[in-house]
Amino acid sequence: MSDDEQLDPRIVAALRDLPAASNEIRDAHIAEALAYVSPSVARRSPRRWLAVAAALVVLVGGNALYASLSPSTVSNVSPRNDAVTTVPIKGSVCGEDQAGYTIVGTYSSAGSVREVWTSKQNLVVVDQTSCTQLGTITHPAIVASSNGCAGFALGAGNQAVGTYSVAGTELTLVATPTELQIHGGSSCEVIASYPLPVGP
Amino acid sequence: MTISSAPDDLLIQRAKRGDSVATDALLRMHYDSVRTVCHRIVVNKADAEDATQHALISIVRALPGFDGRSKFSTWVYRIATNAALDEVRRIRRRPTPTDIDATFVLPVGDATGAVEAQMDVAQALALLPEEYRTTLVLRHVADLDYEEIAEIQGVPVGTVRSRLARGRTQLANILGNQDTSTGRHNPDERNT
Repeated sequence: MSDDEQLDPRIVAALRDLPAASNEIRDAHIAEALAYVSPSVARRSPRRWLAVAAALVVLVGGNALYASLSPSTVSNVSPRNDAVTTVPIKGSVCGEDQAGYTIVGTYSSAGSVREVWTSKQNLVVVDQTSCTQLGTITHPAIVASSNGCAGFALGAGNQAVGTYSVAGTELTLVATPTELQIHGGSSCEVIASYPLPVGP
Repeated sequence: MTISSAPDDLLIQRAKRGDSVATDALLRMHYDSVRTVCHRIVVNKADAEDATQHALISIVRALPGFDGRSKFSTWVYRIATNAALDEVRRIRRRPTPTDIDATFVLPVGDATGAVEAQMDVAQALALLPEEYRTTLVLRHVADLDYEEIAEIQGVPVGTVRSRLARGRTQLANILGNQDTSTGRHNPDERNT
């Protein structure tokens, strides 16, 4: 049926030509809607959230840290830089899914390769096969130090994931068979460690 | 590739997992479409903005259940339409009369006449029965085909065709009755 021609194209154009909303209105609308992101996801998979949360153990030399290991909680973590971000990372399969983050490196666990990404405040662990985020780890308070850990000696069975910087301090991420360790400070000591995120 | 240029399906998958950055990007991509549908169906600006807000929230809430059986844009339009129609129903329940007639005074045209022309059509659209107005908006603003409109409205395709035909005729009649020298519609002639 070709009766569309019966409506003057100028009328159609006028119907579609709504004056744009101001940036303030648009941002307010979207911000309000985004407030509903987390609850909907949490409702969707409560048992998964509880199972993962139950498995969560945070070990940080005396400091309480927050760590979460469920995709459903990833929604609670907004990259500090919400601006549009380009992520052209060599060696990463999941780079386009991690806007706002830069890659630290990869390690292997349970027969799967994990990618670890960092923002200013978080580490995110991603399963490289499915690009599913396995967990989000909030950084501990970093004590500034000019000493890097380039000469850091790995123990048996440990994997060097990579180095990255937070607040101007270079940190080294190591995956042991059971946990992720952040090494830093003047002697490359373990300043924080977390259980390896479980698979999706 | 930036997140804003990522294809819908990638963003959708991320948004369904609760990624707020991807959800933000999706909402921004479809914001103008949602808002236009709401404004054309609801008419009153403030109410249309409310409908836009409700539509966006509904989209976010429903995202985890989006199954991809329809195009994402169609799905978005369906939600926007429902939000707009809900707003129309809320307006009807108000004790005060709607303000369509009260606002039916066109502004003085600008140099190009673009604003005036846009207002003409919007105001004329507001005078159509709701079912005609909604059908016209879905066809000519949302660019949906008859089957999609029928699905959204819950009516047979034949009804969509007839609503479109009648809506177009009435819209043309209303616009044809406007006094072009003043840009004002003559209310006495709106039903002739």
